[in-house]
Amino acid sequence: MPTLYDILNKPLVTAPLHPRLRNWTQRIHNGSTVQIEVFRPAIAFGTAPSELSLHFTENGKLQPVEVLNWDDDLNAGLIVLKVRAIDASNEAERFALGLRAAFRKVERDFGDGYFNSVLHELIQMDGLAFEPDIAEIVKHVHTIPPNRDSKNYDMCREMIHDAIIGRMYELNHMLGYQIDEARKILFSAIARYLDIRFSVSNRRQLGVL
Amino acid sequence: MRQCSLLLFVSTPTEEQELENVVRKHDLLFEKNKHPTLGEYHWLGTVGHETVIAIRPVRDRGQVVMGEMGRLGSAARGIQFREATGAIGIVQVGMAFGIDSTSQKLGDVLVATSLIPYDNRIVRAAHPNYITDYSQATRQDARPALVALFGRERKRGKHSFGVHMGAILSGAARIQSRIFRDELVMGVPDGEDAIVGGEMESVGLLAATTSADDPIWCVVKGISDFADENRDTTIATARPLACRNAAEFVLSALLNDVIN
Repeated sequence: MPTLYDILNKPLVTAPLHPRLRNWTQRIHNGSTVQIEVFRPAIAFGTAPSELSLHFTENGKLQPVEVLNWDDDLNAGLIVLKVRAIDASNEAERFALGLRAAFRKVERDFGDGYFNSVLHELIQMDGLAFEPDIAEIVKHVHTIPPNRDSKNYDMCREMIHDAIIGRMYELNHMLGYQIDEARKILFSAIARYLDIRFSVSNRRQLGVL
Repeated sequence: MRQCSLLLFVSTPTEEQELENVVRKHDLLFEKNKHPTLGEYHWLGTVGHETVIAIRPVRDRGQVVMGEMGRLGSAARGIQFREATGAIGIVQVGMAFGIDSTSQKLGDVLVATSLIPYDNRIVRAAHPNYITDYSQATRQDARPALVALFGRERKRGKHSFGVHMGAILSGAARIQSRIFRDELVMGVPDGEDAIVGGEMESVGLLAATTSADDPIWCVVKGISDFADENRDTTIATARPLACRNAAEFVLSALLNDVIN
């Protein structure tokens, strides 16, 4: 392995990658194929930590599965490498986690309550609430209407909007899903994200819905 | 069961009373409700951008039940209320011990950026004595959105009490020894956030998080003592002030975030 001194003496060609991403990149360049699988183990209420599994096939042979804890940065790297999930449903699960990561900064900057209000309003006003998967969840969501006179409203709305559009870009441009399929996956991901955020399935399970 | 976005958790009658005093001072609702299975709670309605429920301390045959374990413990109640209401966040409000009486004062407010569950320890024989290994007592991060909310309130600087943000020790010991307190602070693993205090109830909130990589809780507690030899006499007089300041800080954070 070259020393730091050697590396710093030459212009850097690419930004350094996580060691796992370097390994996966190399294997893909060497001809291996790979798919990911997201697993969110259910517990009595909610889920245990999410897991990310990689299914590599090298020279036609399926390799032992690599399992690690879900990591937002590794997932972003896998999207850049154009690695898809095992099927559309799992892709939606993955993108629900992607939305969660994308929304974190909005939550931090504006607070959970305001974020909820603007997100809920955006989904209703921008037509997403008519999509069946999302409609089924949104009918059980109640938030305070956001104060639109607040100087924060436009910024918060734009950040949420960009987070959703960014995921569509990843599905269509980076992972290569056709527009209709990408949209279907994204709507399913939004529905799953909302379900967890507003505890809809859990409340149904408890009999309070 | 009413839906809300934020749960406030209090564990003792004093914490509950001081929360009510502060709520009424701000002209907010404090409506007692009872759910057939979850028990009693207070509906505060809209506070800033949040809809808020305060969970009452639970009583069993007239006695307040404390601690995180068991069907009436904070862990179980946190999970039950969180699932039934759809709350995104839980804030434990009340009193805690400080760790340094030179830089902290009674009534100052502590905000947890992480919790250190110190009961997660191994006691090993080290003849003729023993050593306590706290290496497993790793920090659990608080909800970033709640930490940011309280960070913004601290920055506004409008309170007469100090606000200290950092890691909070949490466990079952009622500590009355400066030596034990300091050994605990020195013994747990280092982290990015310095330790600012300790308390007894909040470790149960770790169980209320439904997705372990997405915490939903934060802890805001006023300093009622310094876990030293004077603990019992100090806490008797400082308890109401500590609880009141913590409640004031939380409610102000929620109300002021609307304005800004």
